[in-house]
Amino acid sequence: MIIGKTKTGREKDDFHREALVHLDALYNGALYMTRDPRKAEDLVQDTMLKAFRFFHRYQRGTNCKAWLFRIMTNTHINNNRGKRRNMTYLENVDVEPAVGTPLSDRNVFYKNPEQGYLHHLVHDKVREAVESLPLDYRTIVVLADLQDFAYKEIAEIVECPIGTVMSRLHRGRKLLQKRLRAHAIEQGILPPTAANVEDEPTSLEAYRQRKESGSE
Amino acid sequence: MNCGEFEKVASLYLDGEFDASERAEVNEHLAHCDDCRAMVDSEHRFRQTLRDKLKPVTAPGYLRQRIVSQIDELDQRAESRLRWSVWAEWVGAASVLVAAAVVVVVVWPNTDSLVPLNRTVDSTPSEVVANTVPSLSMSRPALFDGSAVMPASYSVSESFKPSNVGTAGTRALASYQRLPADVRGNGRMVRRYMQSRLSFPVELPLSESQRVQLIGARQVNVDGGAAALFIYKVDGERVSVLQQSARNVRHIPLRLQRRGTITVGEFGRQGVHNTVVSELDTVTLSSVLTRRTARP
Repeated sequence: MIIGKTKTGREKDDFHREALVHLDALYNGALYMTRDPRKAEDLVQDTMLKAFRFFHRYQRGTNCKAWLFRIMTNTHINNNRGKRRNMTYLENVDVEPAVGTPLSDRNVFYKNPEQGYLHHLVHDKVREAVESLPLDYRTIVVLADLQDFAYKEIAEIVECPIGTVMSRLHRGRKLLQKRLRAHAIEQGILPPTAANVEDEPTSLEAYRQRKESGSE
Repeated sequence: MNCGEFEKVASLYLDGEFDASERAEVNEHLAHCDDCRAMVDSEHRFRQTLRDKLKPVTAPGYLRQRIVSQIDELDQRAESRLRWSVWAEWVGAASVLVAAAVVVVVVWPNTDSLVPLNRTVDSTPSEVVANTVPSLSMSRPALFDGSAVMPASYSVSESFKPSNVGTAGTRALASYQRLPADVRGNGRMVRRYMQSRLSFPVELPLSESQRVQLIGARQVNVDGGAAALFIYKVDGERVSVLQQSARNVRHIPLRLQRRGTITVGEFGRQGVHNTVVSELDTVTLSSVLTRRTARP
């Protein structure tokens, strides 16, 4: 006898259609958050199961991808709560505190006076540069520049005001730019003098290279 | 809009945060300003290159598979939550007896390993069991006694008081059934995984077929030893098999018995003992078990 689908069965179909289609996006996001494929798998799995359990709370018609990323971000933070001290976002001393509005700066996306150096960097180095960002900045840069979320959506995902999103995005991009340039200098793609951008402290590596080449 | 104004809002514009009229205003400025337009172009290119360098990857197939099957399981659990509570008690009661029987098999000094469980539980070895596992209450009737010993008045809930059931094994199936599997996938993967974790020759208790689908397995601890819990779906019903090491066992023929709404049973060969529990009836269950339980 064929009986109609149960309530939970219908929910499962909806979940497949609305949530499971974002598995790849979540996995990519998780790779940047955890920086470890095994942990990323666990994080995505936890996220999806949690999402399924609470799927009745998801408002149909709203942005399901953003809802999933919000669950994932929370799960990741909770997973690492005890280990907070070991996490990179507290180790980084070269990051200014995320205060003030980015709009007060002469604020441009990624400043790159030298065209095309990024093009010559191998993708591992670029990934490394993103992964080296402190978690708070990394998350927001990934959400904005790789996952195409709007500021408002990011604010909801990471549960902070839009102003904070904007300032972290600004600082995250600036820092990423700096790391990318450092890699480019390391690889000889950019001249050592190129490190001297925006009067920011440069990496020790770049500094030594600059000294060695006698430009200082 | 002039260049100074534009620079202040460039990132909002570039990030697509502007509405149509704001965008139009910027576009008008860009149309007349080569410098700002060059900057916008350069930023767009940079962002595009960044994305090209960080091409998204596809999530591994096994991850998707694992998530899908766990969702299936959660979904099913939600549907049968009520049936579960009743079943769990039965399973608990059954595994008390089965675990006791296993202990008997393992500790029974008989070198002839064809130990018929129905006799050993009834006779002297019960003392051995009582001594070996003090917290196991042995006054209960043997589960697989040919004379179907469970009296009508036999109370399941009474026999399943935690105080009665000190050791892990006694509650094994009941409590472990609800845990998610450690490993999911095809039979070979599951077997390899369990073999890598357990010291006895783990084998898949059921052969997969159109009717028999392996859901997964997990490592559990029973009576202080590691055991494997396999979860199958047979004709859409869940079948759980607890596999333990039993060094003296060469062959235990398949025995199944209907107890209330569930079927419990055991079989074993060559150092491995299996306890099986399902809601399937005995005939259906034995039809998928027979191949594996034939005498070596």
